[in-house]
Amino acid sequence: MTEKHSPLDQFTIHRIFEMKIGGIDISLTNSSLMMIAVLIILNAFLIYATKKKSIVPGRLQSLAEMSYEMIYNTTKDNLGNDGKRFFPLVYTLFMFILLCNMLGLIPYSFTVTSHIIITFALAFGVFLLATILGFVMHGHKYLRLFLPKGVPIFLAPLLVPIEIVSYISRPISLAVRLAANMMAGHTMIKVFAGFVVALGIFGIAPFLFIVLLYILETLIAFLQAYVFAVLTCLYLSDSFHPEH
Amino acid sequence: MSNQKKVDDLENSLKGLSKKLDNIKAHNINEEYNHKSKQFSGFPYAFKIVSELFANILVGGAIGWTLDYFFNTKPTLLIIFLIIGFISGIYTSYKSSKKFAKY
Repeated sequence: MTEKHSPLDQFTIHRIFEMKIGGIDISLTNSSLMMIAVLIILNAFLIYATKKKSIVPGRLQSLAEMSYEMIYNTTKDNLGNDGKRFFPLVYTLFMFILLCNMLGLIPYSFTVTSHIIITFALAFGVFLLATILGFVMHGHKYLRLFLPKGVPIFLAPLLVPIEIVSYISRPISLAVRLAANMMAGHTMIKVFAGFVVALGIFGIAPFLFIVLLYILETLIAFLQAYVFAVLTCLYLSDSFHPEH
Repeated sequence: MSNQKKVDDLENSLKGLSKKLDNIKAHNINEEYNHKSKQFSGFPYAFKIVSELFANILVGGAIGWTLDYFFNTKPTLLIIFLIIGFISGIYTSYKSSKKFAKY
């Protein structure tokens, strides 16, 4: 356990409601509570925003339409017309991560995406889908990904391990990027908040810095969700066209 | 005679107009595309390259350590796969940056 005033204290998980089924711990923690809140808010927002269906959209409706259009265009650009069927997946991932990041910025709340196991689960799902999709669409030819055409055969013992490591590292890099960005930002804000208390009257300087940092963090929260969506598209497009 | 000339004139000006319209349309599409691609599209690639460099080394080390654990060849495979991880990190980020250069 970390101390109460440690900058890392905000990341500790504690049980709110103890539950056990057959020796498996399925207690409600602050992390799962936050995820449930995200799902409820997300669904409520999208249902409420699209209820009116007016031709000239209001604020909420245009927000929903903008997010939809942005991810739709990203999916279409990266995956082509064939890949449109993956749009629901990409959109769900984007909105879930975006809301987790954004709600984590509210004081006293919990940032779900700062835990690497959560982001790794999301990334590994994408990785599994891309791999299965590649084998379904190309059969054993998908293994060509590890040895591109036109490579001399004596380079194979060197290139194949390299390509395999690079392929396996995809979900890791997706997971680490998101979790590290969220954790670093939140820890930095907490550290500077500690300076505000320690410096007394001069604490106004770090306080102003925190305000700026919060703007940056909001940008990063959005950007990391977008990056996750774009890279999901990229990895899926690799299993569409493994030659490139 | 003069009627025929009038029709020709009209057709010519119509052709000129549609050509102008096409030009403007093409220009607008280009403009929109450039504007859109400049907004965010660089960020995902930048983040991708940085984290790939890191993740490849991590995965290389993990594979080496696991194989060592099973074959009881303590540091040998770890060292070999760490080096492979370094190489593949550079190689992957080189490939990603080559893709990015197209845009």
